[in-house]
Amino acid sequence: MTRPEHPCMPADRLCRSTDVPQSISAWSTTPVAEELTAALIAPRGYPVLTEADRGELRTRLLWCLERRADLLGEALTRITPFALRQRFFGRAVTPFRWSPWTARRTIGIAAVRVCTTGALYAPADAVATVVAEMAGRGGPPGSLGTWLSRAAAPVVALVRAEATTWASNLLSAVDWSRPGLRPVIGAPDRWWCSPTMPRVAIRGRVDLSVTSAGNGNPRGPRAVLTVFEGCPSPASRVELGLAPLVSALTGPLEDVPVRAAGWWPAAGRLLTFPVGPSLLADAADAVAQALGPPCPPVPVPPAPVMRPV
Amino acid sequence: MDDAPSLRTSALTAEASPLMPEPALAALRGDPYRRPQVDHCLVRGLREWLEDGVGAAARELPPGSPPVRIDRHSGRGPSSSHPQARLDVPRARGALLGALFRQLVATGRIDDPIADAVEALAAGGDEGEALLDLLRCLTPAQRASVRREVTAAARRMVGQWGPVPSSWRPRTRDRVAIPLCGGRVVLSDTLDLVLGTAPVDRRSVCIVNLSPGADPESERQDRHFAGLLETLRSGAPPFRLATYRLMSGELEREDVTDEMLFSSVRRVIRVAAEQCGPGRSEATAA
Repeated sequence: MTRPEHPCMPADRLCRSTDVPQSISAWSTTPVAEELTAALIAPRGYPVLTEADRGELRTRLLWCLERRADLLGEALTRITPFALRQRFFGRAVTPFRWSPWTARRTIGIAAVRVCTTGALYAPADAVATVVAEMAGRGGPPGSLGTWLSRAAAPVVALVRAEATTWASNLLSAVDWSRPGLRPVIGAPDRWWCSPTMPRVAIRGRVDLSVTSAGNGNPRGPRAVLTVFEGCPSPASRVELGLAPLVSALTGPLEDVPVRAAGWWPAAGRLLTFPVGPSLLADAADAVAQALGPPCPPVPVPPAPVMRPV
Repeated sequence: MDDAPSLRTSALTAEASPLMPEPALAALRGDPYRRPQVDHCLVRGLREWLEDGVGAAARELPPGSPPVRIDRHSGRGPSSSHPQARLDVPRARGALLGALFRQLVATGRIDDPIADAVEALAAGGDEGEALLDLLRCLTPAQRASVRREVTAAARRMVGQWGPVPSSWRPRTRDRVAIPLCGGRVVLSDTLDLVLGTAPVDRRSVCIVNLSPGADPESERQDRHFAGLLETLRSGAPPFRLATYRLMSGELEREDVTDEMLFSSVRRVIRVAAEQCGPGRSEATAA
């Protein structure tokens, strides 16, 4: 073996023992999973979102949306992380249709649920079960179940292949056996529709929501994780802020996650952001920018005049 | 296809291939007791080496330029340019067989090789449609030749691979994208087949590349590039790399050594210097 060219390269790697068996089918927690899980359930830090922040956020978003009323068509405009990313990089948003690629997440989520409950061990088996069940159940026109039930066998095989890869990536990313970890895998999407502009809807989607019980607290702070393709981009921060933004606009303050994390399995990268006024304001601005040019600042009401008694 | 026999895994797994005396999966698994331990210092060193080497090249990029994407085909010159730039019969044949391989891993069976592969390509988006258009434009004699070759290769594939055990965690077309220098350079690849769980203490992953041709030097470089990217992504090198030649059914395999990873790092740095330099081609910018 030649000496590595880089000074950071250690030269003492030849001292290795090879006497410990390792099965290719071993299911264990990797250092990456430990790190990601620890980041998700880390104690709550600052900044903390207040009711005043939330009110300001809602006012700001409504103001921007109203300024863009004339730019919106009759059809419903859905703001999703994908749409934000496409607009960020100046690409056209293509209409949705089911394909092995677009179906992989829905099936993968269901398969991860099956595996984490212990019903099945391997992602490929779980995916096969989920696909068979969805195709057998069918559903309304346009649903995944209907599409699967009508798809040719080779297309279903591709769906299974894509979903297995997706589910394997999420399964190996989290330490599911960590004590006190309470995961919710793929909770239903949450939507926020503007009360004054019902043609605009913002979607909050997360792949994993985690709370950790401990120190006598049965329900600790919540963190959310989203799985992305490729590698992080400059748009990643606002994409991650979208789900907490919808939580902040729709639910009680306690439901707003304290941390938003993104996992890029293709890159092996994790990004986490504390959820606070800054992240949510940036996400709201990104939503507004996705609909049109920058809007003027929200007018500040005049301060009350203090008169001497 | 009327002349394509139905291929069932159960009927063909007993067939022995003269080109591969031992079953493919056993050859890939090797002896689990002899897999090397994971060396985290090695992985950190590789990344820093790459960041330094590629960073020097990335400084040549103008501010605000799109990221430079380096894949397994980068740096091979115009004679072997990126396959997405050309559509020819060998590539279409490779795509058909690649889809069949994926189906075999996912379901353990291939019913009608040509019909299955065509359905899969049609579901694969614009690129698949373009390849199908190419096949439709062939003469009847050329189409018959492709049909014969694909059917024979699919039959061989089923015999060699059989159903891959789900406990081996098979993943097909696993995409890797490693950003370097703050995302200004991205190393990307698609791993055709990944076997094994994520590594803890010992290397546990095996990567298989599919090759439509038989160019040993390019295949070797592709394997090493895939091994490097998996190392950077998961924090541990794979224990074994392999190339499966779709047309001949040969399986080339090698255990991952540190020197393989070093040579791949050197190649990436050299390619990055070419791609990021003043004469860089626009085609390399993603």
